[in-house]
Amino acid sequence: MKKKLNILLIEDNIIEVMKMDRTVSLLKLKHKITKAVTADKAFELLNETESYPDIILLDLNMPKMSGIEFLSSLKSNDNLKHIPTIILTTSDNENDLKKCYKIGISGYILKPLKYEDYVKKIEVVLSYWCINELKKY
Amino acid sequence: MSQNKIDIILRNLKEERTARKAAEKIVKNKSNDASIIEELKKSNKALESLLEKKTSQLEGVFENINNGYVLMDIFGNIMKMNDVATSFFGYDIGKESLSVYNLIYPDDLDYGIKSFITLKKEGVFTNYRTRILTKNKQVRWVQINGNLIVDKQNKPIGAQGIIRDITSEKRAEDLLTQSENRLSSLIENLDSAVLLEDEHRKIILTNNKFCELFNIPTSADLLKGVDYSNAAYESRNLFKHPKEFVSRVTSILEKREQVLGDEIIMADGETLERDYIPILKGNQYKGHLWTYKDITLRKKYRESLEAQKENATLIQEKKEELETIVNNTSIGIALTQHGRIIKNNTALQNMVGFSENEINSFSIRDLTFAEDYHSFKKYIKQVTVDKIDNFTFVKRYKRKDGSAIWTKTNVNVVRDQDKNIKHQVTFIEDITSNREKTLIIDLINNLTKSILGKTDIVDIAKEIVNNIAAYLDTDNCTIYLVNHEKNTTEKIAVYGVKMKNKTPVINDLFLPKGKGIVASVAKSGISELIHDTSKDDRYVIDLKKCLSEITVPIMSNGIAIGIIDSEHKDKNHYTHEHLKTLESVASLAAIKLRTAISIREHKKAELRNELLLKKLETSNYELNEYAHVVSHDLKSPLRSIDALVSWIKTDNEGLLNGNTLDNFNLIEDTLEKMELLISDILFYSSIDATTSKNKKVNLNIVLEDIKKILFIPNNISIQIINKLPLIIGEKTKFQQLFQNLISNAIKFNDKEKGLIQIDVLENKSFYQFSVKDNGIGIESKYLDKVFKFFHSLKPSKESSGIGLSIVKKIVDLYQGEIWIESEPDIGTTFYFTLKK
Repeated sequence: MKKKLNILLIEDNIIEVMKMDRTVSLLKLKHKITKAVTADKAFELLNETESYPDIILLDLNMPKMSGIEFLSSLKSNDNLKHIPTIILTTSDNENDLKKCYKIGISGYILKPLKYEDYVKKIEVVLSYWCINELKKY
Repeated sequence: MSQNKIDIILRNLKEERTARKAAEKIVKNKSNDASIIEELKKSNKALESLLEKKTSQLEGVFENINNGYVLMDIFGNIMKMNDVATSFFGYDIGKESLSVYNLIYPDDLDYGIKSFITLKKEGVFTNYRTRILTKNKQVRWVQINGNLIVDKQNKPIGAQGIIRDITSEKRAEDLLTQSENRLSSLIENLDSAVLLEDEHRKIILTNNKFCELFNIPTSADLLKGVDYSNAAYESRNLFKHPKEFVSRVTSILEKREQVLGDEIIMADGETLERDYIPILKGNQYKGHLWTYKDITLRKKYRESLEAQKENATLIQEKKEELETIVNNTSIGIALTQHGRIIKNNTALQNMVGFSENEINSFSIRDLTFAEDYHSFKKYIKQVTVDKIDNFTFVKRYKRKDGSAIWTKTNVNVVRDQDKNIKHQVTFIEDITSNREKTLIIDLINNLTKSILGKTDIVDIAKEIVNNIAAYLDTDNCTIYLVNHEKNTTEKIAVYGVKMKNKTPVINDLFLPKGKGIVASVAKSGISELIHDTSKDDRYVIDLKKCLSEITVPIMSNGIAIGIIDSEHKDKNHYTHEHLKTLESVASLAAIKLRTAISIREHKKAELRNELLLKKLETSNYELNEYAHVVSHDLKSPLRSIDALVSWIKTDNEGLLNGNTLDNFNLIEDTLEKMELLISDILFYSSIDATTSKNKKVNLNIVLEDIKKILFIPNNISIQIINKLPLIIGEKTKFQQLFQNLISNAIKFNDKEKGLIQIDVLENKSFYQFSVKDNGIGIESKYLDKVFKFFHSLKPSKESSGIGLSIVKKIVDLYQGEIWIESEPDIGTTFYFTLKK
């Protein structure tokens, strides 16, 4: 776990953000997590920064712009569409699943009920992306 | 009677007279028979004594007889012949025995035997005529008179006969008969009646024609010898002037002078010509010949010839009469010669608008349209080639103003004696008005054709309106559809409207039924012809004020389904003819509209269905999405609570007492149950939504998957008895179905060794599945409650109370049925069917 990932977490639920923070610190990971409460905020961040995140963790059910709408915009933007995007959601709606894969995602993770299960899942996901070769800027 | 015929008759009469003389002579000779019989009697007596005495004195008796004498025994053996007989027959009985049967000519043998029998019976025979064969095979005619010879006991012992050679006599007789026959057949076949009478007015000869003319009901032969002296008087009533007839006959007979060509009129009107020819022998009057001839026909012909001469003046009158008719008839008449008109009548002049002289300067061709001339020539050719004498055809004639009249033209050819065409009489009937009727038929025909393939109600109505408006000479023509349910009429085609405006049907033109003449007809179903709308208070101004209106319903099954309506600005514009035509059009339209209406309704319904289906799909989708959103919104807080509880527990590890920890655990259990509930509800609500396509699902694989997913305690075994089928549907649903039933069976099993058996039976249209357990069973009073929502018989952590509701809903989705057989403590079997 030497690699430090630059992660963009797009999540409107404050407790979910806390869960991620707590999980990363629990697992003693050194990843840099940038948080965006809305999709609009996320675009702002992506446009401001000169270095793009390594991966994006995206919630689907959000007020204003939904996760799928954000994904569509992202994947139609030539500068941004390379960023692997992993869906992190409570929705096991098949339609959502299909749509996301169609647009282009790098993973679809269901948030489990129990926090311990959540930690296990996030640990696997992050460790997976740690061993991936990612685009350098 | 011609002189020639008279000569023939006279010659025949002469011949006959000669023959008669010969015959008379014979008759005279015949009287000798009496002496022969005397001789016989004499010889008889002599014979008797001869036979008795057996003397030979008989020779002398024979010698005394001039004719041949033959004596024979009772068997026909000749006993004696005199010299005459011996030389006649050529046999000498002294040298050879001879039987009469050898003598008789073979053809006459029957007659001979019969005569012999007669002789035996009666003892005597006279004038027995027969042919005999002489020894040198000559055939001779003989006459035999003979008698039987009896002994004293009156027993016949023989016969004797006098034989006379009548061969030459017979020949003369035959000649006479032949000539008589010839004469009588000649007379019989004369077409004149002949009556030959002798000086005493006894009939010598007459013929059948005579009998026929004077209604004598016997044959002419039987009249011979009849005394006819009183005939004229007796038959006087056969004649028109009986008295004159009798006196004329009397005077002719008195004068005994030839009378030729007397005309006699019979009572029945026939006319006879009579000749009277006296027959004189030297100066001696010997009789007379009457001949009668029927000249009725000849007379009538002569009379008619005379009558014709008289009629000449009458014909002139008739001709004038005819001329009047010709000039006053409504049929045009033209007399043509070689195609040129030489005579014509007033009617024809009126028809074509030319004067008499103008027409007479024309040929038929001048009055004929070029395009009609060809067909006319065809008929003319038939007249010259096929010799037909008249023909009728429909043709147009040119009028003076250039317009055409339609006519039925009948041409009659008048030929001379050599069959050459003398002239032609042409009758020309104006059928222009008839033709208008034909036009109506054409209108209907065209209409039929133009709406034939159309199914769209508006298209059909449009065609009708366009066709009719021209025919009715108006620009106001509308077709309405009647909606009896809504009590409205709807304009579907208006003449002229769509020409300005492409949008076809104007829905805002609804006219409430009950107002206006259209509405009235829609209600009554009876056509209306309004000559003056200002006098009809039902009239409602629609587009503009019109004074006449014609309204005809389009009827179907006794109710008006549509209305054809037309208006015209003038009064009295529409005629009864128009009404009849529109009714025909309406009945035609009815057939098409009925189909079109049903198609239209069908399409409308289809469209509605399509919309509904789309709406339903959308709302289904939305509902499904909504369910997911709701479930997310409900599940999120559960995750948060769980995370928070988990953190509190971790952050305060070792600080919390046992009771608090238990409560935290209860919170976590409750959260799990809540999560399950939300998931189940979500699933239940999304059963109807088809999220993926139907595929063939192998239930064996589904069951294998379930066995892996479910936690199956060691004491419970699952058996699949028959191989499960492939079934079409969504895999997740079948999985949920079996999973729920099996997990229930596991959950409610209290036995040491739990057994779950899954089986299938194949039916024609469905499969029947069963999931059988040996669990706690269900009391019968709960059986009908198990499928109800949120109904759990045994509250447990893993049970939401929705499981069986989901099962039921899936079975319903695949048009199956589900039922339960259960006994408490023994077990439960769930049966369900799925459609193939």
